[in-house]
Amino acid sequence: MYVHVPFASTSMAAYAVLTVASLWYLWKRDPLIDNLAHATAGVGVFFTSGALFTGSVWGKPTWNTWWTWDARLVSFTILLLILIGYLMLRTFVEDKEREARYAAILAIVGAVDLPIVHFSVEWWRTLHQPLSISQRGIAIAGVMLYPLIFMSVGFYLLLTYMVGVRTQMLYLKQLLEAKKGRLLGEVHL
Amino acid sequence: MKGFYIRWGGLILVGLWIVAVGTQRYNRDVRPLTPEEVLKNHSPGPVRMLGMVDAGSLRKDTATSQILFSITENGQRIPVVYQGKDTDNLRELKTLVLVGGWDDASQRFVAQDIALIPNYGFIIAAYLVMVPLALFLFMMERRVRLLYNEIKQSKLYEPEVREFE
Repeated sequence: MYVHVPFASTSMAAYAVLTVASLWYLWKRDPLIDNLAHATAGVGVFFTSGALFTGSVWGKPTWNTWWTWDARLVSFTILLLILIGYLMLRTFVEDKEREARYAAILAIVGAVDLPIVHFSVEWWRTLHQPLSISQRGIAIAGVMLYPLIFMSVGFYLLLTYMVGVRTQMLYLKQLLEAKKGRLLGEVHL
Repeated sequence: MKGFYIRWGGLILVGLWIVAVGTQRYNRDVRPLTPEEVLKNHSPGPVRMLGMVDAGSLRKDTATSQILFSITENGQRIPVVYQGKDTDNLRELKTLVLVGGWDDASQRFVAQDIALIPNYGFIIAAYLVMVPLALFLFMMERRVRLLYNEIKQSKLYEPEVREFE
């Protein structure tokens, strides 16, 4: 629980950042913001996969199954597939500007899945437990809540750091390519 | 790059230290003993003992209101007297973890509580996700360093020479 919940929470936060960055890119057309969105998607795939894996590990002793066609599980897997699709799209398109635009549109359309993931346990009868922190109150004992908050804060810091490093990595790659003359007109130095 | 590898080496050492401390704490406070180990060490407790309640052994002593039964694990049987709160978890043929200690006077394991059977294999599997996560971060940071070096070597920031000065 202290790994799965922070993984799930941060992966949804990563997708929210991706959506905001995509909207921002379509508005301002700033390549640095596109780098941020691209980096968030890459790190988001890792966190979303982590959430699914740890959830599966938790499900085996609790539900006696690694996987079930539950609304929360399915909607979360769709989130992972959208992120993988986003990264694949970025490798298929030749023109860098078009690549960034198409990817941003895909990310914004895919954001429809975010509220579905969050409210799936409320809207449908699922095997997954309902929201532990909601308007009804907090359904977690204090002895478990504080370590969970501690782990969640740690995961959010890790996500922020990893997105920062990956954004830097993508920027430097573009810078180097610009130096080599392949993308000279497309990178803002 | 030397400082980078030293930093990651330090992080690995810290990680290994956390694993060692966690393993030590698990062995000292959490790992359940077998009935054989309890009998061998005469552990006065409090210790955790894992075993299955024998079929037909569960009974209540009406005089003392204590619950008596025996626990079996790997062919080793140990008599138990349970003095804790009434619980539905105490059933015949059920595997459980008893918290208590060996009493030399009565030659029984005196249990005060029943704990959940730990699923540490699953918990460790979940925490192992941190290994590929750390590897992913290491690869990204290393790539950033290499790109920096490559850009430096290609003299990207070299100022342009003004010919007409």
